[in-house]
Amino acid sequence: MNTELSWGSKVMRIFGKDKTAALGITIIIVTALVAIFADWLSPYGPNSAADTAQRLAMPGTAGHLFGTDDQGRDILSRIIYGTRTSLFSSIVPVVISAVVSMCLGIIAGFFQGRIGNSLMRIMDVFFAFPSVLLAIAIAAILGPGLLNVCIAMVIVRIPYMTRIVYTDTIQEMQKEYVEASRAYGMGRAAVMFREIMPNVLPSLIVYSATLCGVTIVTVAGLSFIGLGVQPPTADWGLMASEGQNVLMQGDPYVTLFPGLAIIILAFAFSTLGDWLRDLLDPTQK
Amino acid sequence: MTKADVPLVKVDHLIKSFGGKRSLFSKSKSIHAVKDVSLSINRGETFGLIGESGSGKTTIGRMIMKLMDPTDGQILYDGKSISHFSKKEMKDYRSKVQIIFQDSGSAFNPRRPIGKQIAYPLIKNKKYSQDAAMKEVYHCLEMVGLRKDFANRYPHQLSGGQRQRAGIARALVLHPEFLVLDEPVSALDVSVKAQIVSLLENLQKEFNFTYLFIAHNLDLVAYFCDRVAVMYKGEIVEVNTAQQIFRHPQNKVTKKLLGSILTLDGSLNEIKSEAYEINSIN
Repeated sequence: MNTELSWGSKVMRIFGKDKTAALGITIIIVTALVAIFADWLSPYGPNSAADTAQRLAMPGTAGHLFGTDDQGRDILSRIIYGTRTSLFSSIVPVVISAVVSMCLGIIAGFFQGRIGNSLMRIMDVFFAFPSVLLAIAIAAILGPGLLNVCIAMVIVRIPYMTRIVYTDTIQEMQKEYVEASRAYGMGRAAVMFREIMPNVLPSLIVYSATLCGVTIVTVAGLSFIGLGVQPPTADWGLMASEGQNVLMQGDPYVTLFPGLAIIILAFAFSTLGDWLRDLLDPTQK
Repeated sequence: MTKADVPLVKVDHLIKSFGGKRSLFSKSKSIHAVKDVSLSINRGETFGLIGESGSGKTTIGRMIMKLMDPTDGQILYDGKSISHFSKKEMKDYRSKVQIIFQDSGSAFNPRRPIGKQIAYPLIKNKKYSQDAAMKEVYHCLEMVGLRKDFANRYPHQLSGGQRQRAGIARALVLHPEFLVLDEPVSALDVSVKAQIVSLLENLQKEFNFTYLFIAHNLDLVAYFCDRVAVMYKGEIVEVNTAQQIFRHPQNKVTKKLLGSILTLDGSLNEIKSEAYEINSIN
């Protein structure tokens, strides 16, 4: 997993100690591999509709392990292809907003006074809107598409993450090691990103990991109202929402399988977050 | 005037107030942490700054360290005002003046080994190579009585006394001449307290350090300090030699502080002998 031996063995040790994390990380690795090799793994193409006689085939029907949806497409194949958009739309916006929030939050917390206050008041304006509503508005302005939805998710998440980094930074600023580093002449940027950042990183990581799961669902919601992933594309969120048409007509599995996939991936991300926090904590070694 | 006549640190009509800024809708009430304080610290002496919590003593220490800027008044170091230092002079000042904190638990970044943190200013400010810096770090750790391998430990792996020693090592590494000791022993238990005090004393003898010893009570002060200033609500109420403060306290705040020491009659000799006793434990 890692080329450097000492680091690799450290990873393995914590990996072995924490079984839940091991499971979560395995899920994420498997999902990533599935996304890469979807073309080989999938029994059918994502949009290849079988003959109409095969519509809404029950799970376990010959050739369709998870059944087919209302257009006769193989659900298993669509879940396999769906890993691509789901992984992308959960990881990319969260990582980008985490990086931006880390910088903004530390700067705001470090320069409290005028800079910090103006930054945080701008963030407060975003808090005034429910985040899904805000995401809808932004995605509507930018136009439909996966990328635009991701941009909307980045903008929506930044205020929350910045708030977390900001409060943590203020707490760290009161500790004496920050004063000590200034007392021996460390520059401002170094104090912010060398001293304070490693200490606010863990809580941001845990929060981000939780958000990865939430983001899949939110993007699914945006896709459902036509702003995100566009219909024929295989996407877990979109599949779950499309299945609602037949949910009450005796075919719940059309929603069930993509829904389960989302839950499993969301769980994997949150255990990954906890594991990363432990990995970064020197008192856990 | 010869160099010896100029006090090393001269604090001149120093004022620090917090708050009092106008915001959008209101003017916050300002608090005067330090009101018109003047004092001078001579080369090689240990100057005690005593006062109950909230009396502004730590604020003065922070301002001398230039971790905070005064609202008014000035601080002269070796005859020069520290607020008018050039960038180069400031860099110089940062290595000449160092601080030792009360809470050793938060004085080190919990996420990096002690040695790396002590070595950082050497590598960054003084352009030492990694090896040369670590050699210096080992030397400083040795001076404060810690083994070499403590350099690789994380702060949480050290006891309070060991961390305080490491804190002293961090201050020593830049070869300072003036040290602000901000209640360096008040968080430690009695036997460790005595060890740290005698370590500070030995270092002073060896390097001719000047100390500003900040404390909230008179415990150890008679033994450790040459001169003492007593602060109350941001003002200095009494300055005198440690002996005079103990034998003939003038101000009632001083008398009250003296009264809180755990000796029967508060006479200097008794306190001194007690302090020596504590010291001889190690």
